[in-house]
Amino acid sequence: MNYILQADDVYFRYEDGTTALQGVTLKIEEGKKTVLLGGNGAGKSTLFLHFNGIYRPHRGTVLFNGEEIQYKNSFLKHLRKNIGVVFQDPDTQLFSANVYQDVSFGPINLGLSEEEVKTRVIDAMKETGVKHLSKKPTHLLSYGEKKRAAIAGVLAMKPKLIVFDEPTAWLDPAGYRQIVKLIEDINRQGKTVVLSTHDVDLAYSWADLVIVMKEGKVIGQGTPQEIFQNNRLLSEASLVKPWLLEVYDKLVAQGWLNRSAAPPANKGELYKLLGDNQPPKP
Amino acid sequence: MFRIDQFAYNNSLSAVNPVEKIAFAVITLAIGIAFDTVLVPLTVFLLMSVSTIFLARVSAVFYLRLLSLPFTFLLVSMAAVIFNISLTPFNYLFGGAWGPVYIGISAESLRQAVQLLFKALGAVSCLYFLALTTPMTEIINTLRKLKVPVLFLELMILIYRFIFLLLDTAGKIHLSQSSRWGYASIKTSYRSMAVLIANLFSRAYWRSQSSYQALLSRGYSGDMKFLGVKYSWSYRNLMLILIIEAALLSLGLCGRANI
Ligand SMILES: Nc1ncnc2c1ncn2[C@@H]1O[C@H](COP(=O)(O)OP(=O)(O)OP(=O)(O)O)[C@@H](O)[C@H]1O
Ligand SMILES: [Mg+2]
Repeated sequence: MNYILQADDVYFRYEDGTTALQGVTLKIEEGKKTVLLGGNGAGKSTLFLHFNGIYRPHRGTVLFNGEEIQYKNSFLKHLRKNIGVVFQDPDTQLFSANVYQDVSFGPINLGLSEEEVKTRVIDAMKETGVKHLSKKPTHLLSYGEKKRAAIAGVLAMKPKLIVFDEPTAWLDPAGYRQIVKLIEDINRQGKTVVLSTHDVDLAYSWADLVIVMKEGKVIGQGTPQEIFQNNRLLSEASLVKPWLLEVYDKLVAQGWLNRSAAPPANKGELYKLLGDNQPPKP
Repeated sequence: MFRIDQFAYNNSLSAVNPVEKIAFAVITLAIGIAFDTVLVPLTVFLLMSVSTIFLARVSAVFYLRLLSLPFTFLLVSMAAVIFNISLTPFNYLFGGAWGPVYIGISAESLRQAVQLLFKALGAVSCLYFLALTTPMTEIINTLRKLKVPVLFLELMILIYRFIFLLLDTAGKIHLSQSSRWGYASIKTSYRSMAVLIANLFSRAYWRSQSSYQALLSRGYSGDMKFLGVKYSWSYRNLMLILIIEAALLSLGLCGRANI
């Protein structure tokens, strides 16, 4: 197993004295989908900005590809080329006047040739479905379009790992599906994906690894099945159960379903379980 | 503000090389204010308005509304120029003595005021033509080619972007205040406005912090560069601009010879 990112006992305090991280230790496996769960103020966004060296831990270390991050320009450049961050609010990220220029910002900073920049920008805009908006000023885009333009700007740098801070917040159902599919596609191309969310259903059916944070600490990590069947952990983190598990537990409790070896991972699996089990005769 | 920008990105002259549009507007502007006549600025005003409405196809109603914006300022400054106040009697058309002071309108001051009006209108129409046909990004790109210092360009980019962010934030705060009766009376209006302004600045500050972090995340290292769109030159347009400017210039020179 190759860990692309590791945090080892990371502590971080903001200037105003808020201790945002209190000994975070975690490992992110290359090529996997990792979901970070945690309530407001748990420290997710703060942790993400440690991943690309924007924040520097007061104690502890962050490792990229097994190598400790060095906070000097040459290393940070190399790090930020490989770790892309999509911010929660696309307005903080989009700063140029139009989409095309904004997407070109990252690749130009990498010092690529104009031709290469151009192909990357076009490819990234196509992939995120904002090609037709390329000349539009960023302040005239809808929220979902801004979000996708912001993702295009990160994709165009071809990072190995992309961190998404609450990518599905504030989206309508169609926009939600679009973004989830986009992130899924990005992962299929072999990129490691880390995202934070409050959406337990997404975390349950989609993640390879779930990490639960609370008050600047990691209070649990494991596969979605492990995490969401741990009732003590869920209540400690004030998380609700995914609807799928809730329904499954209820069905088992009522005797409508035999407890299977593993709970269903998605809607399709639940339906299959239901199909295999004959309903009890009255 | 939003409408101006929408037209800038979407008008019938969008495909025209921005350098041509900028040259047209700036040279016309210079000629319009160089001559002390009424005829030249008036011609400039008509030329620019016709170009904006008929060539660029900007909505005429919107254009007139925009023109009405500077009118108040213009009227005030005209009033200041028109009325002469003096301790000694002078040659006035209207007016008279008011105690030891003489107040009145002289032929000279009237001429100056009318000139001022037309010069200002001519200049405003040139700037509106530019603002309504050429996106800010293209203007900045052109300035970059003219070797304007990078610091200015980056400031322009950021200011342009943040004007809209500030407007947006202010709009949201205002909405949330007014939906809670924040502007129900004069007194609450003053208080709400004060809170809005104070909040706007602290939010702008936090926002600029996270924007800077986002810039760093994408490899910003002190130089803001983007890819510009390539435009081709149109010799027809260049000739047209040349002819129009030459005509304006000779109009100004002839007019001066006559007076
Ligand atoms: N710039 C800052 N200055 C001071 N304190 C901050 C700053 N940013 C965040 N904090 C504090 O640090 C803690 C962790 O915040 P963080 O934004 O990392 O949480 P989060 O898990 O991302 O929450 P959310 O789900 O609301 O986005 C919070 O208590 C927050 O108030
Ligand atoms: Mg956050």
